[in-house]
Amino acid sequence: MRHEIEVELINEQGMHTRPAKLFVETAVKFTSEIEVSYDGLSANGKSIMGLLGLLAYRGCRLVISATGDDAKPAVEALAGLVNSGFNE
Amino acid sequence: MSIRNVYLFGQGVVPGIVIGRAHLIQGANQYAWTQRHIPPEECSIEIDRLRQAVETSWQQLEDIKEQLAGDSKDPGHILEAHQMMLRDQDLQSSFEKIIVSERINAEWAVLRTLGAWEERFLRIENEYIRERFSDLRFVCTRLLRTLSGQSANEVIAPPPDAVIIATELSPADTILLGRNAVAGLITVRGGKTSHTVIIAKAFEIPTVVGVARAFEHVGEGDLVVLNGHKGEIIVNPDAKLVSVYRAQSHRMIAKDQALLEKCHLPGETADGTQVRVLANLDFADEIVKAKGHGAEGIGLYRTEFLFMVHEKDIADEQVHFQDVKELLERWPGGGPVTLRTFDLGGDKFPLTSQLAREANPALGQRSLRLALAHPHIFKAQLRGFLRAYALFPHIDLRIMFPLVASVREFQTAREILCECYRELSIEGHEIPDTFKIGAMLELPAALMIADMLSRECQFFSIGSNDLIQYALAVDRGNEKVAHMYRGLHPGILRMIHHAIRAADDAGVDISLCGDLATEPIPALIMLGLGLRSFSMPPVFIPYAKDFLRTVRLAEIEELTTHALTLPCADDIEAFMRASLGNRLQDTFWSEISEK
Repeated sequence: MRHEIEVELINEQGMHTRPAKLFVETAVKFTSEIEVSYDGLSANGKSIMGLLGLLAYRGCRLVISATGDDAKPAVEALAGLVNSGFNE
Repeated sequence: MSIRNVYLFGQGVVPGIVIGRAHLIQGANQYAWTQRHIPPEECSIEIDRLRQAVETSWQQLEDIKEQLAGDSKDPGHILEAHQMMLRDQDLQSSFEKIIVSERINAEWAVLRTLGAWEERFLRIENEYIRERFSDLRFVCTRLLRTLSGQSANEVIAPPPDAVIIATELSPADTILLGRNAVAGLITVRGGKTSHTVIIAKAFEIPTVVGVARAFEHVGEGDLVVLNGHKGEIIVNPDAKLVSVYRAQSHRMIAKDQALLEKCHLPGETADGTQVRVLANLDFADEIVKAKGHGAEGIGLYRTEFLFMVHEKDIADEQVHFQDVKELLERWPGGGPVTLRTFDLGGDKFPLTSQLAREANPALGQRSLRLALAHPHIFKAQLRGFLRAYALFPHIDLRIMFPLVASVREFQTAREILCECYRELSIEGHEIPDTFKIGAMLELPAALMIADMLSRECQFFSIGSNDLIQYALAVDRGNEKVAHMYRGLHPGILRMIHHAIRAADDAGVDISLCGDLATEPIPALIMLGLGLRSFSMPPVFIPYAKDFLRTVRLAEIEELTTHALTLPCADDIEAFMRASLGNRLQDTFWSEISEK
């Protein structure tokens, strides 16, 4: 099962350390494989260095995709986190 | 035999002379770590070493987190992110791939990986993204330390009286070092306004920053003289130099002792003019030191650090409440306690979490502007202040807004404060309404409308650092123009004079809390202009009070009147120097404040 969704980074500092940490903390709750892509690069959604390496800042559009049994709830939870601006 | 008397220079940012043994905290400097090629059969050994080092480093961070538990400045979430980076699969596999493909040892692999990331991060124009690279650098540095066999304890608890040499220090490291009574700090990076400096000032650790070649010339255990007044380092001094500095240091300590004994006398001139000397503080627990140094009140309590270490809880009222409660419960009363709402942005706090990139941050959405643009964050802080005040209603509490530009802006900020007050009252909090609300005068235009602002404000505090920067259009961190940053510029003096007169006419309390209050000549001129209240880091208070007792007001007023007729800062300084003569030379104040 595969799901994907496109989201925009709305928090001020973009994909910096704290948001990346929160993203990983959420992603690892799911068994699905999670991939985040931006600007031709893609990263393992369960790797903080991978996410930081996307060098994505405010206003960038990311594609979050998940493959696995809980792909749908995983994508929804992660998109919700990004859309909330990582509660900043 | 090491070379004797090697002089190194940097920027002295916290005064004091110390002699101690160097303790090197390695940055991820590629020359400092063992780098070697390995035969293929050793690859698995290096991979194992690296995996072990990752786990050890992870545990070190865990231990630091435990040590900091319950600390109001708990940077736990930063440490957790660092832990997550350590165990990151991508990072781990890139280390291991390099070990195998290049046949190099673990240290080298870490450095290579770090180098590759650095290149990638620094290509990006966005400064907030670029700054994130420093987190990876802190993590890799810790890993390298572990690989080289240094334990976490050596790093966090260096030998007593050590002079720390570091490329740069993370906020967490600096706080831990400060609590461990190190003698001095030397860093390769960092300007006057870095985190290291602000924390070192708070802990009164003599510090020199920007010593570019420190690691080339200082070895572990080398004897080092650190002169925090002059920004001078002497590595492996000979016996004669050691005795000269030891004597100077002893003289200063003796003078310090003598001054500390007298520091509780009221601040006054030789002819009995009362001058109130207040303290600038960054942390609640510094209040003990402020009292010990003779502070007659708190003229400025900065709240920016809370935002640096509580990134996650930036809008948490409880954090502000707890912090101010800790401050107020330690204050015996009998002098003002001035809380400044957050003054973030611009050049000051590159690691704080706010605002998108701006072309010109010093002229952008910073400080009070940022507060008014994010009212929920502003209100959380104000509510925290008021709730803490409710517990200590006898204290002369003052709430100050930074960077006020206009009467309307001040009114808007005050209205938000009043709204918080009303909401808290409805929620059942009993808060006295006797606290005062005031403005920091640091924009030239604000000083020029001090008469209008005085109808709205209950007190003023002049912030000379930003005032000088904005009035003279000089960034003092820019070495090409730093020499033009002059507090004694007649234009600056006239503006301050105008503000003092306006405040006096309106009967509004006015104080000065910038660096101008910490240097003897400018401070005397302020006195001559009519200022009767100064706020400064606690370490300067005994010196300032002592020096004030050597001058008479009538004399200073006469000198100031003449100084105001001189066209240039240099002329004013030379005139004051010549007029004060020996008194200026005799005070250690000028020695400690000379930059």
